[in-house]
Order: sequence, then structure tokens, then C-alpha cells
Amino acid sequence: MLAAFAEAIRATTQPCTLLLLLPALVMAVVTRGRWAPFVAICIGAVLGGWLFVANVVAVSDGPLQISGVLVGALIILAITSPSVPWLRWADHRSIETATAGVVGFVATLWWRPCIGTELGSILTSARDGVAGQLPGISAYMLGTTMPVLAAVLVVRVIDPAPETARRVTWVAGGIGVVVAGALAVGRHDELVTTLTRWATT
Amino acid sequence: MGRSRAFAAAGLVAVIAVAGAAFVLDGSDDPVEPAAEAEPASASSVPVTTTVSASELPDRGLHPELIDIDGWLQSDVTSLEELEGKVVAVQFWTFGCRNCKATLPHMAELYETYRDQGFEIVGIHAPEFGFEAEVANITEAAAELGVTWPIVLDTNKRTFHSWQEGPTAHWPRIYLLDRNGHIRYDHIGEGRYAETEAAVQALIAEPG
Repeated sequence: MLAAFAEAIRATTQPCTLLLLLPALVMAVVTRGRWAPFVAICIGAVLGGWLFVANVVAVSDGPLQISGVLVGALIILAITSPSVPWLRWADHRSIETATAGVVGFVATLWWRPCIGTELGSILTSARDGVAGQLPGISAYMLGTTMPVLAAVLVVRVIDPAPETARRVTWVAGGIGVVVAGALAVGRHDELVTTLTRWATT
Repeated sequence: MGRSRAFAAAGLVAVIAVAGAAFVLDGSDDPVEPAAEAEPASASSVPVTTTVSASELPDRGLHPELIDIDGWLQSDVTSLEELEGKVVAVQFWTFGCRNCKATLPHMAELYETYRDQGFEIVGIHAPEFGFEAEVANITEAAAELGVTWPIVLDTNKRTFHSWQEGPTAHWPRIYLLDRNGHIRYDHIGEGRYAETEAAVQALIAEPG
């Protein structure tokens, strides 16, 4: 499990993990480094990782586009929930946490993992039984969230003034919405190609 | 600095330390397997410490067909059936895939060591991105990466998906076929090079 965790951390520096990380990083910043949304992101990512290893869900173009719409809407909801009149009855912190969890889960559908030694072994062994691979893939997915944890901690260390925090939130949210929008209009492959080339040049 | 910020700063240092350790320990937990970026020459120095008998390799049935392929490169062969009688490693790869590239020195070593003993490799090239589908780019990459074995062009990835059970297919993935064309070994991702070589040895030693 430790090897899987370490391999996942190394994979976060590779382009293949960018589409998993970007939405999660956006949510970490949008939720101002709060712990509850971070935990929700981790839970969502682990659940998505289990689904990936179980290899039972086909994520074709249609669902990917829908997921893009969903993530874009959730990011906007997380940013605007405190000021939306019809949501004032709700605790916007709970809304943020819930949206972070969903985004963490959906981002695993966008993920095209680098299959190194450990993840490869998990996937190979899963063919003969998924249950035994759940600890390994959980460790792997938690490894992929280490940059998100770092982002949470950076936000907490900097502890920006409210006005600055608001601007940062809108910039991060804007990036997230653009990425989600690209998927929503069926540009998943182009987005992955662009990110891959951007990250490797 | 407030107490909360101090804790966060300490946590950040810890996360950076853990990440640093993950990179430092890369591959050190498996001394049998060479580092991912190893040169082809270094792979030859790795001893096979795993032994497998052919009876330990379950028969997963006759290999699926090659579907809707766009041809073969670096070979006069035009079907897997023509290779029956040989032990064949079928590897799904694409030249832009980092993990696929990491396996190629080991594949080259297997090819060099066992090709005279009735062993063949077929690399099924299933492109992930558009630029990987251009034949000229594949040929150029194959030369650069030391891929000298036959390559099947699976541009539409129909073979890629039909061979791999479930809705998600992976690169790299290697299947070993016995002399009768039956799948006897399957591994996803990098690694397990010694285990793969031991399986090749076992299948070569198995009577046809």
C-alpha cells in the first residue's frame, strides 16, 4: 500500500493526472482550504478509484459531457452559494463540502492514469477479484490527493484577506469552469492533448 | 503567526517531505526490477530470479481476433495465426505513453534473448492522441525507441478494446500466447519484468 501511495504521488507530476487534479485543486481553493471539503474530495476520489478498478462503468462521450456540465455548475454553486437568495436557508459550508465530494468523484471519470508498476499490479489482480484490491487503490487515490492537501495547507498558511480570498476564489473557479466547459462541449480529447503537451514542454 | 497557521505550515513541510521521500524511494522497494527510465543495456544485467512452470500459467482460452486493423509494420506477417507454433507476446502500447516507453527496453531484451527460441513480439499500437495515429510518427518513434518487432496498427482501437474485458482498456498491457495461440499470461502496466520473463521461459519450454 505504501508503494502504491508513493507511486501515486510521483504520478501527480505527470500530465496523465492533470484532469484528476485540476478540479480537485480548484475546489480546495474555492472552499478556502477548509478541511471538510478536502476530506469530501478524498472520499469522492477513493470511491471513483474503486469504480475504476472494478471496471464496470463505461464513460463514453455523452456522460463525459454531462459530467462537464455538472462540475461547472457545482463550482459556480460553491462560489455563489453564500449570495444566492434561494440558497440562504442552507448552510453554504455544507453545500461546499457536498459539491467538493461530487467533484472529487466525477474528476476520476476524467482521469487517464499513468499505469506504473503498482497501479498495474492492482488492475491486473483486480481481474481475479476486486475486493482484495480496495486497500491498494484507496492508498493510491489518497496519494493522488497529496497536491490538494498541499493546496489546502498553502491557503491556510497564507490566510488571505477576505477581498483577496474572493478574487482568488473567482480566478480558481473560472479555471475550473473553463475546464469543465471544455468537457461539456465534447472537447475531452483535445483538452487532454493540450494539457499533456503543455505539461511536457 | 497564529497557532492554526503554524500547524498548517508544519503540515505543509510534512507533505513536501513525504512527496520528496516518494521520489527518492522510486523503485527501491523492488530490487529485481530496473528503474523505469533504464537504458536497454541495463535491463540485460537483471537476473531472472522468478521461476514459473507452464502448469502455473492458467489457460485463458484462444486469443481474440485482430479487428479492423490498418495493417502491419516491420513484418511480413499479416495475422496472429501465422505465428502459431511460437510463443508470442502481444503488447498494447502507444508511443506517447510514458509507461509504455518504460517497458520497451525490457521488451527489447526479451526479444533479443528469446527470438531464436521460438519467441515473437507483436506490438499493437493503439493511439491515444491524434498525432500518435500518423504512421510516419509511429515509424519514427519505433526507430527511436528500439522497437524492432512487428507492429500492428490499431488506429480505431477496436482490437485494443475487444481484447480487454470490461469497458476500460489500458496501456501498456502484455499478453503471452502459448504455441497454440492461447492466452497464458496477462499483465497491466509497468513492472513484473522478471515474472514476465519467467513466464516466457516456461512457455518456450512447454511442449507444443
